[in-house]
Amino acid sequence: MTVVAGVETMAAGEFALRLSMLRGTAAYAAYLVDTREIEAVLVEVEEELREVAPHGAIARISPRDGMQLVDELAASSTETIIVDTRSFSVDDWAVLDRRRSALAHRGVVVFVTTPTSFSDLMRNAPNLASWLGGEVFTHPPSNEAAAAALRERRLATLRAWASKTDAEVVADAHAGVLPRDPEYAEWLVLLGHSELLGPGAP
Amino acid sequence: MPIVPKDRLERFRALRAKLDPAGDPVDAGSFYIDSPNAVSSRIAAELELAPASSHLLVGGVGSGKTTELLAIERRMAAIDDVATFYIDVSKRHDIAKMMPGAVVAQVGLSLAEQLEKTGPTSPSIQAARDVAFGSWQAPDPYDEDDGGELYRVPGILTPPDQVAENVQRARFPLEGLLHMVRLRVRHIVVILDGLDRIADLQAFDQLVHHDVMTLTSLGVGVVLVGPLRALYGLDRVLVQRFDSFHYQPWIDVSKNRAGRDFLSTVLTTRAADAFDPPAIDPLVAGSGGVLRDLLSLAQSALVESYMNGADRVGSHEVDDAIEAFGRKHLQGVRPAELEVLQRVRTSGVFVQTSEDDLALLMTRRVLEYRTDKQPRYAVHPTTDLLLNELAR
Repeated sequence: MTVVAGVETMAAGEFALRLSMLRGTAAYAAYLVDTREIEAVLVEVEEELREVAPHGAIARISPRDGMQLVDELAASSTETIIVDTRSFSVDDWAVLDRRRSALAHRGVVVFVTTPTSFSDLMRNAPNLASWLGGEVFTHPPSNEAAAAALRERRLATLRAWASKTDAEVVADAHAGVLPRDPEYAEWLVLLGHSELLGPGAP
Repeated sequence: MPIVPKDRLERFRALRAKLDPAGDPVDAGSFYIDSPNAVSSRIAAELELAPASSHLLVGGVGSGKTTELLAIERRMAAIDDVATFYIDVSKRHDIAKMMPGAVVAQVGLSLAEQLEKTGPTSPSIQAARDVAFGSWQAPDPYDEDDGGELYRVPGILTPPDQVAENVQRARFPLEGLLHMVRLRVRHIVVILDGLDRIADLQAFDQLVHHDVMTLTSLGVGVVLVGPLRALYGLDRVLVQRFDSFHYQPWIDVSKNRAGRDFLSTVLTTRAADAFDPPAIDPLVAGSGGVLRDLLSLAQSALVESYMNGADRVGSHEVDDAIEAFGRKHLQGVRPAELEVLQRVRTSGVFVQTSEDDLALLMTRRVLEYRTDKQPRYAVHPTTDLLLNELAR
């Protein structure tokens, strides 16, 4: 688990405008997106960039790993490159950190990734991270994603409060030994197990 | 979407380009300013006196090591009888897969490319390429066991694993190339960048043992950048392989007046027009004395000014840039590390006992200063306020 003092939220349109100002230099940025929304956001960022810079060359790539990204960046002279790095692992970020010199690209490179993958970047690629400076923003979540994030935060709080896992709470409810505190009832509802809220349940 | 005048956008882009921390440091040469006690001055002076000497340079991420290496190259260019070659050994090869011999091979490759540009031909030029990338070899006519067909000899940059053989293979064409260079200049210095990103200290030690020793035995001067972690696990044997050891520190902006003035001058030399004067001190303080972070913060503040419709960076934009940087900087921090950061923030106490502690230094979440005799520790200033809020 990592500590999150959330990255600033920025809508795709404003992010694209910001990126357009970075053109003409070697610039790196990251956009953190909920996993479920990443496909749509990749398209959204590209469309917004085309709107603010209609004559700029833009490419969207989805390298399977860090080495492929090194090769693709070296082969591309496109000015703005949007990189889908949602699947990048600790090893991929470590490779990119070591090969940072080979990533040098005259233009804007945007890593669109998940908060988890970005945490891996921050832990395992200090050299690459230093190139990002403060150009890291979070895409505002949709209502559905915001609700899911809220639910996950509440579950994390409940797990910490009871020092129990979700599976243990469900098992206790099945066994009829779950304490009657209202927090356990909330926990079951958040897990989608309202059916366990019987007379014997909290 | 706001419509902005094109000339305003162009002005901001031009200013931002001058503050580029991610661009090629070669391009920043015209902005170079000597820092107080610049490592480059010291190393260049030692190389002028002893061109075949070897130097290890260690420093944190963003402290300006590459900039100093390029400053050494520029200084040495003024010396008539020395040819200097800057080589980023990480550019063409994954340093985690580097075997002994790979650095010698890259030096050979770099010399071959330079010599080829200026005309003279030599079998050593192709031999250097073959050693680096592999070649097809004819069978040995005196070997009856040989199948009689061409066979592939792998290149050292696509690593095979015979250490001693690799070093010898790489050395052979290099000797020919050095001979060609020495027909024009007496001394050769190679500046090797990129090995600061190697994580395996033992692998680094092996490269130093085999490759640096080979280069020095051939009379080549060497300046090598090493990983910061070497500073914390460096044994005497490794240091003793070099004639001198240099540390490129982060600048303690709260204690070092000359350092603070230097960082202010970096900003004003590059883009004085970009900043209201009161914005410069907070930028310098927020950087924690990390040169690359200073430029990153200045750039972000400039982008904020553009987005806000302002003409220059003011205190408000600096505050925004510092907060955005700090939030990014805390991503990936684990609860136990957060406790360490809070302790460093409130008491300055930092005892490096584990790999995770070391990682806090590698990632610049904890900064170590050595302005005085005793090291001083601080959290990165951009995280100070956020950590304070998290502690409440």
